[in-house]
Amino acid sequence: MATIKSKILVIEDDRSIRMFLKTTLAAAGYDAITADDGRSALSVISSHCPDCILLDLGLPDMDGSEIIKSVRSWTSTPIVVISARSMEQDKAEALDAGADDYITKPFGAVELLARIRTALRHTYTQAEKDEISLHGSYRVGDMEIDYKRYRVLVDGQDIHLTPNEFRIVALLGRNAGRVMTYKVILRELWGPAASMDNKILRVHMASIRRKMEVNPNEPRYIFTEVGVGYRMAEETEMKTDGDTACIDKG
Amino acid sequence: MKQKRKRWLLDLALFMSILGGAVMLSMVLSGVNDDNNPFAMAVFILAVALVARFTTGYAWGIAASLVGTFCVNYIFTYPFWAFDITYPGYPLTVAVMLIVSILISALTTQIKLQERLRYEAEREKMHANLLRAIAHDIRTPLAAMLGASSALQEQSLSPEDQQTLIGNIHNDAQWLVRVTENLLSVTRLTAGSVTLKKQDEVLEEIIGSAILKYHRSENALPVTADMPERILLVPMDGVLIEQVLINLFDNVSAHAQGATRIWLHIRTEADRVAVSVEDDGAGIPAAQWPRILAGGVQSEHQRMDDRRNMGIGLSVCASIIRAHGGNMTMENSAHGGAALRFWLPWQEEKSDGDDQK
Repeated sequence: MATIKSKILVIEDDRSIRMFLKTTLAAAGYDAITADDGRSALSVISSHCPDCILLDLGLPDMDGSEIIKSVRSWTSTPIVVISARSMEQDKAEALDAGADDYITKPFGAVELLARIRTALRHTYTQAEKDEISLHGSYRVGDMEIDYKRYRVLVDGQDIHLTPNEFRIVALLGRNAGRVMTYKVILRELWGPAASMDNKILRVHMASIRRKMEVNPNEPRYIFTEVGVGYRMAEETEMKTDGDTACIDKG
Repeated sequence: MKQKRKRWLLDLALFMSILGGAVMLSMVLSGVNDDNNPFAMAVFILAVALVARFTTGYAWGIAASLVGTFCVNYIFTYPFWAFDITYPGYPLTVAVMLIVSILISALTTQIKLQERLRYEAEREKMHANLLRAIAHDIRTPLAAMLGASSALQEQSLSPEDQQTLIGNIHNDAQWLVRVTENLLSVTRLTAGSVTLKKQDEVLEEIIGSAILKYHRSENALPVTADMPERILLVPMDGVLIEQVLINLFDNVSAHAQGATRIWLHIRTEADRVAVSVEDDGAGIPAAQWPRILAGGVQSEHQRMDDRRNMGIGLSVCASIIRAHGGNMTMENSAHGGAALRFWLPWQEEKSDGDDQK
């Protein structure tokens, strides 16, 4: 399965965390390169062309979202942002600036590798999009989004979403595994002039969950990232998350 | 800025109503007497004293004394409705009213200053208590981690022992992470102005996210949560309320002896919503409730029982809830154990149509 090692750039100013990331990535079979500030990171990105970038938001010399914007101006290399809790605003800004995902400090090796796999999969195979264009549907667990007939099935039953609710679910499904910020969802659904009041989005989501989830308090398909946005589950999560979701699909 | 303006408007309103009242009262009294009004002077001195007491700063009191002397002279002394500067007692009236207003303003300011000093001293004491509790809480796991890592550096350990030690280090580090998260929240709350990022959040989203995160820790218990029929939009700082819930869950798994399950109940009243976290453990005697709710910073000999002290965790919960304008209460749960409940202010939503563009 291993053809060419994926090259991953770690941009992190703290030495011990940089070492931890490098060791973990190397052990998992990735080719890890490091940079400890924003300026050197930008030059490494243009010279090495990494397959994925891990970016700490608290760099001493540059603002994280500045780096993201400058990288995004010429490449779509996936960027996973590393940030501390209680910096929800920064996370949302980074995602809006073009980051693909975020991971909250402190995190373990398993979580880190899962995020990187998701980020890489999105660029290499675009599996979700392919599946959607091939079958016209996205499946995870017992839930299926039928893009052709504009409906969502759970256990084969239509759950009767309203048109707006379907558009929200459809958007999350096309970007499964990625966090969609409130701002992005609002913009996609109601256009750039949409008010930034996300209350109506929350209400829609609560209503979607009531129709879609067995227990809306412990959602399996759409996760809340408090203060940031929503994320649709991927098939891989369904299998590893043994505690609440034990679904076997043929 | 806005607050200053509000304060100013309030002072103005007080000033107008007190002096207006004084004029009316004097008018009524002079109607009774129909002569040089001996009450007017007394009434206005009282009015000046009241204005000086209840407004901020000296300006209002001084203004009141000037207006007061003018009124006494103009309206209530012969010749009525005319300003007579030659009136014999006039300079004395002015002087008396000015002195009264300045004295009372000075006293009021002094009292306010003393109140603030006392409040600050109290806060200082609270901070000292908190620091002591923190130092206690982090000392033990740090010592354990240091010991375990130095043992790992010795080569003679069996692989199983090594795994155990690494596992212990991991758990202790996780514990320290929780402690620091709590501390960060406290400093965010006590730092002053830019504190809560309040937003209308759907309560069940926050609960769901908290349950998910709680279930990542090793000794997590199953949680059964109420599902409200309606969608409850509650103004709150979602990240902080999520932390309150996680702290309360952690508190059950660390302290409730014999607990096998956690229940989460939601209750709404006209102007507030309550969330209670309950368990089926041994429960807590009512005598200890006030201490626990106060943050449970225990004295030296009380904290022998358990190093995993949730003192900080609960006091963080209490201060987060307080900052939201709510409060925390405790009682016995119908499930057999303890119930910790917090209230948040909430307004019943007028339901608007579903799909609006």
